[in-house]
Amino acid sequence: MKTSKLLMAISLGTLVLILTQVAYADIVWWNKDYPAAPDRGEFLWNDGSQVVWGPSILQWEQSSINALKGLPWWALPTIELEGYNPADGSSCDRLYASWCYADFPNRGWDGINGCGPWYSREEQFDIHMDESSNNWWAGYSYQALGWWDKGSLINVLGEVNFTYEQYLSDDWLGKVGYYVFSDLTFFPYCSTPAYSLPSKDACP
Amino acid sequence: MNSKKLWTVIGLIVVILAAAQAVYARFTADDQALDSSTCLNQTDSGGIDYTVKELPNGSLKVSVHVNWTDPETLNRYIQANRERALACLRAGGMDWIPVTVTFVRPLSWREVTVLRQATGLVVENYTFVATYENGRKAMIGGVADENSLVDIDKLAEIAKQQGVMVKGVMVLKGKVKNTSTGLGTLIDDERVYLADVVAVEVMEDLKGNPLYRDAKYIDVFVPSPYWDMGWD
Repeated sequence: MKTSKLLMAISLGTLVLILTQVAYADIVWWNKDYPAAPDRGEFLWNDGSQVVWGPSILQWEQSSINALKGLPWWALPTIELEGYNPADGSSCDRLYASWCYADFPNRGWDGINGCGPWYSREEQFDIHMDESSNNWWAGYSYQALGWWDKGSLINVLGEVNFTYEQYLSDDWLGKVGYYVFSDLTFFPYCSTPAYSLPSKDACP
Repeated sequence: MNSKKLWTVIGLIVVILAAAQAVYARFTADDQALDSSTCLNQTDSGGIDYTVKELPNGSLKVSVHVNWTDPETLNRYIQANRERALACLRAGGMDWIPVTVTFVRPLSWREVTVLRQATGLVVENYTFVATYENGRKAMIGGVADENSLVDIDKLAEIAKQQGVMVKGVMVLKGKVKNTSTGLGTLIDDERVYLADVVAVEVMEDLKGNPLYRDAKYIDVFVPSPYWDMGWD
């Protein structure tokens, strides 16, 4: 009798563990090249008077934190939230950097005008990580979010991109594709990696 | 006859004064040019390390690196920046000085506004610091408008969404007039921990480099030690 109760408890425990693991697996793995880049995460997208976008969950494995902390001080690891397509320089000046948010150790942030004429407004956030900090924790959910004002272009496709950078060299991690309706609402229709924006398939 | 002589003497005096004025102006200009370079080069900052990335639109993204993991290095860096700022003030050759200000503690929006008005600071962006209920830290960065302002209601909305309490402004990036009431007041304000003017030197360095001389726009990121300054 006692043995069967024990087995039942073990079975229940296993079930809970499996369910927990399933929930955990909802956070997708970034396809990264640099060991110090974040490992897992999930995008957030909100459309209101401004577009809010970014990894609302950003996690590092212990080995990645070790790699991060092993970087020399001149590596300048940076989380980039690009309000455009950095690959071909398209989707410029539809989203203008307004506010950013980060809760991981950092040395500051900057707004960057990397797209469109040099005199146009900034559309990118660079958040400069502090690799030397003792407050990097494996499995911890950090956030890096940006708020953007909307440009006036309508009925167009566009995208925003998420990149980890060190030594000023990019490790592209993902993007969200969006469509701008005539009333200036921005609708996300895909994310890469697939499901990094929950319930959105991979971008074509 | 006496009247003619008097006018001749007056004329000569005017000519001599004009010539002296011209010579004085020339020397003054030369001195300013000399002082301008002195402002940039005479401080011992232990060398400035930075990297440059050219963006597709022709602008440059520059990142300054500072190795201040030990307090002594950080103190030397702070002192070097103060000396650099004082040298710029003495030289007077540049109208505006780019500056990244780190405060000793989070300043209220009102305090920052008064400081901005007193010094004529033109602000590009602000870094507000905040904490979660459990004490964990966060930062909220705001891009300033053409009047050096951000929407404080929006800041409160973001803080509410994120579940954090805003403590105040710890860092701002902008430019300040190279005058005693501008830069001079700023560096002497006891609430200012670090008035970093290293971007002056970086910009001059880049303008002297044939590779980057024609850059349309240069954005210099200067790091701040604000995260570990005990505001949580």
